Amino acid sequence: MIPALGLLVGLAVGLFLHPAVPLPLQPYLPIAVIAALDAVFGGVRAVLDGIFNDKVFVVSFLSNVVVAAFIVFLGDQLGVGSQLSTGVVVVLGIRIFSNVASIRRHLFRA
Amino acid sequence: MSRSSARTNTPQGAGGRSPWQRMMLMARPRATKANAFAALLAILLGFAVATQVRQNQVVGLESLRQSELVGILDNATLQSSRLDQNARELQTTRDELISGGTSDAAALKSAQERLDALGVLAGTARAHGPGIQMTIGDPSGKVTPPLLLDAIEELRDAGAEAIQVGDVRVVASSSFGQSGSGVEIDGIKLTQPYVILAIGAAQTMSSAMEIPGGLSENVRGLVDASITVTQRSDLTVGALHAVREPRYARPVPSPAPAATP
Amino acid sequence: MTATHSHRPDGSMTLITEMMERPLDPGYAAAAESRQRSGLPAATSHQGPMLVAIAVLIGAVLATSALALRAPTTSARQIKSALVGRIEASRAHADSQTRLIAGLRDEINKAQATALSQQSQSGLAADLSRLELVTGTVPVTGPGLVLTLDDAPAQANANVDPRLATAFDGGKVIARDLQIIVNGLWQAGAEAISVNGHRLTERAAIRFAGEAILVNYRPLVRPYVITAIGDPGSLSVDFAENDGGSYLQSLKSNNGIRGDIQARDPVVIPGEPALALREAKPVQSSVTKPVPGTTPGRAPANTAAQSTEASP
Repeated sequence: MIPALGLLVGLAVGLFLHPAVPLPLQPYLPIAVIAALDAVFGGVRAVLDGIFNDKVFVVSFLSNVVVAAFIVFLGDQLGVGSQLSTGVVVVLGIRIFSNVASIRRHLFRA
Repeated sequence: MSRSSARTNTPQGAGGRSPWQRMMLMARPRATKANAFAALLAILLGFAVATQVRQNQVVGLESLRQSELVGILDNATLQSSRLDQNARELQTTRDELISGGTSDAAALKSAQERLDALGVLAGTARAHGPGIQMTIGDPSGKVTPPLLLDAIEELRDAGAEAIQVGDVRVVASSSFGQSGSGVEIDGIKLTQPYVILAIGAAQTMSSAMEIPGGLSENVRGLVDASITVTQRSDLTVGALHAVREPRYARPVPSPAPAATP
Repeated sequence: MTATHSHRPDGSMTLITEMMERPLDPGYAAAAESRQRSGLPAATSHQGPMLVAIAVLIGAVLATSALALRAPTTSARQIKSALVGRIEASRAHADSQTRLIAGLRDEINKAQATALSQQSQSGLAADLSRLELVTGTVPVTGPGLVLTLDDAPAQANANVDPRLATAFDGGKVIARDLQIIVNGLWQAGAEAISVNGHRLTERAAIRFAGEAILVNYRPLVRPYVITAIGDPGSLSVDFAENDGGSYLQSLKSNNGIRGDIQARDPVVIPGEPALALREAKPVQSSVTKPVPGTTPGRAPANTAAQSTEASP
């Protein structure tokens, strides 16, 4: 409950304060967002499975974001930026779908 | 086609029924809430698919460049204002006619004015007014029928109301063809230089000829060909078109009979 | 997080299978196991301050990126959608004005017909209806053909960005194709032609604007249906033999464009009621000037009584 409230507070803060994102970081924002979503859904599923661990959650969130951004950055340097980012998005997307399906099974038994 | 042979290749499902029988069972309508909900979802899906397919076929304005959209908007606004003016004039005429009193003279006058306008459009009446004179020089015979056809279409798009190529009046049914090494219109051979007269908004037509990718550019791209466009404040389109009585086209009979006095 | 080295036959697929079967970070399972072994409950509390801080951070990141990533698209998209909105509004207005004009024309024609028959001006009335038919202001019907044109199938499905399309996108029907085919139909003796319901008149132009083909300033939606009235015996034959027909044939065989001609009797071709002139005037007008002091149809009055008086 409290973390969910924290999420809402963070959303509100971001919407109202509208902090400017430095230009060099902008290309990595979409990937970072998807990686963050993957960690969040993983965490929710862990809660429903009864094996949630906040340390694991934090570590997985930070490492997801950093690794995803790094992969895209490396791809840009090598010239295959868009392909690598597509690959990252595909993998994270599949994981998100699987986790959400499991959450759905827990919540709706359907 | 015995029943046993029909079943040899199909695996038996639960309850010893073949898949087809299971499908038939499922297809039977039952009035349950879940069925109704599923039907609703299916309808929505069908609607979405149809809309998307239709969307794909419809002219995708969103896919055009901004400059093209501006061009289309200009065209659309121009046409709108022309239609507005047309509607206002017709409304005035209609009110004059309906108001009685002077209706006899007014009706006669409006009918005659309409006859004048239709005569100009049909090519049976000479016309005069502002416009442009275009001369296309083509000593090497490089001008093709599609080029002149495009010239006429561009003139029409720029608002030309009466057009003449050489000594031939251009009407709706005018067609261009190849005649030997030159161009013929409605079966009449044209000789270069091709002199085209067009009555309409002179500035608009003149600019339309000069747009990139337009007629002037196409003509100048031909070997030895030249084009000059002159705006005139009053020119006369004197060539006439002999109207061929339509033998197959008849007016659609109007539903209400004309009022008899 | 080392994977156990089991020799599965599909070992090379581990990446895909890991992704699909184990989307949840194995760290959770491992941490839960170790906690259970040391007697603690499997899950940790989810009220910890660190967790809340991370949640706030995630929320802020989501909101910020949503705003930041939206900004570049609004300026260009907004302008374009504003333009598209205005174009649609203009077209809707044009359509309603055309309907209004058709109605007004109808009323005027009826009033004129009544007045003309009252003044025994049947010649004028006949001239009017003849010219109306020929110029295209009234709908006509008769035997003829229907020619349906459509892009080549591959083009019809591709959502190609026009900026990236090559200069020769052969499978697409362009305005020039319609111009040449219509020209061929007129040459073959058509008496009236309409394209997608728009009557071709002396002032109607077939033109290109971006990706769309416009007839009389109105954009066309695929497929393009050309309707023509003419001699049922010779129209399609003469068309097939002239330049227009052979152009259509080459479009079909070289570019894969779909074209299909069907004879039909009768076809109905609508009129273009908004046909009018702006700048052109007839050299010789047929409007009769009324003689001053009289109204047409009535003899001047009082001449008998005044006949002995000398005119001043």
